[in-house]
Amino acid sequence: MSDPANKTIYRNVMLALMAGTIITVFVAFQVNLGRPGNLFVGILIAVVKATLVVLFFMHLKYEKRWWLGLVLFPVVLVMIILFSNFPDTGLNGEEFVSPAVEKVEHRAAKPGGAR
Amino acid sequence: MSEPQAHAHGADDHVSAFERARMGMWLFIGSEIMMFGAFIAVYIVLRMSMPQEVVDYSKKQLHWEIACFNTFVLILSSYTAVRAVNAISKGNKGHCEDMLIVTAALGALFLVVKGFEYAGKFDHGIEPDHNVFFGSYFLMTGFHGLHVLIGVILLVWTALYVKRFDEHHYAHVENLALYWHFVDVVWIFLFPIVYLL
Repeated sequence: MSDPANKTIYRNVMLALMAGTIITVFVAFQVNLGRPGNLFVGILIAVVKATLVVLFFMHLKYEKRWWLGLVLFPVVLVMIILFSNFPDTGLNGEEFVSPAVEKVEHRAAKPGGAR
Repeated sequence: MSEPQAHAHGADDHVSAFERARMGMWLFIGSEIMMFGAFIAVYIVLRMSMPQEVVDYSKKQLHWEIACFNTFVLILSSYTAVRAVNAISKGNKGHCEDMLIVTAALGALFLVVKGFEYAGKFDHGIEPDHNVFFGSYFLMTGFHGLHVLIGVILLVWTALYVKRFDEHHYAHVENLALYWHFVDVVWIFLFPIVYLL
């Protein structure tokens, strides 16, 4: 069994990961893209760093191509969890009152009350 | 079957066993991606639902500099882990042992720093039930820390026995390194989303 990569590649990947960390800190404190913009750039840099680790340190670049599915399939499932919960994110701590409940409360507040 | 044929067949079996071992590890990593991915997804959803003042207050209680130091420690440890794999692949067990010990030491350093960070939080009365942010913080960093601890134990155990390994045990070192790199990948995401953004 021989290692498919070499020390130079590993050293360069490590330096790229450290540079990515410095860039992430710089973007977080020195660049104002708005909160969503900074979050997007921060996560994008993290994705690039994670890809470098997976491809070179974890040797996925040198494995059979279909093995990539072993990583991507769970990532897709996580994305489904994330995006399917996004409708709940706009509440900002407000108590959610469904339109049906609001209607009943509105009726109850009227003279004569709800029936 | 002639002797060369039998030898070739044995070598094929060995390669295939090595491949199966790595594939099993990748399947395990897939299940870990779902676990940590679910934690992170829940954190993002809760974070976007939290009042801004809760986020601002919670961020002020965290020390990103300490987490940044720990990020460099884990990146360096990933490098030494892959060097251990490189060394064992060339039959250099002594260098592999050295690299495994350095990796374990860096992992232990990460845990010590994390321990001080947790102690600081508890001293200020910040516990998992402090608010939603810290509930997620302790859940994610706690599970990650547990993975680092398990990794350190396995690294030390492997370093102790690596000199007795033959070429059939190469997959053991490779799989351990895969696990360790995964722990690094999780931290690559946790550092910016919890401490910085």
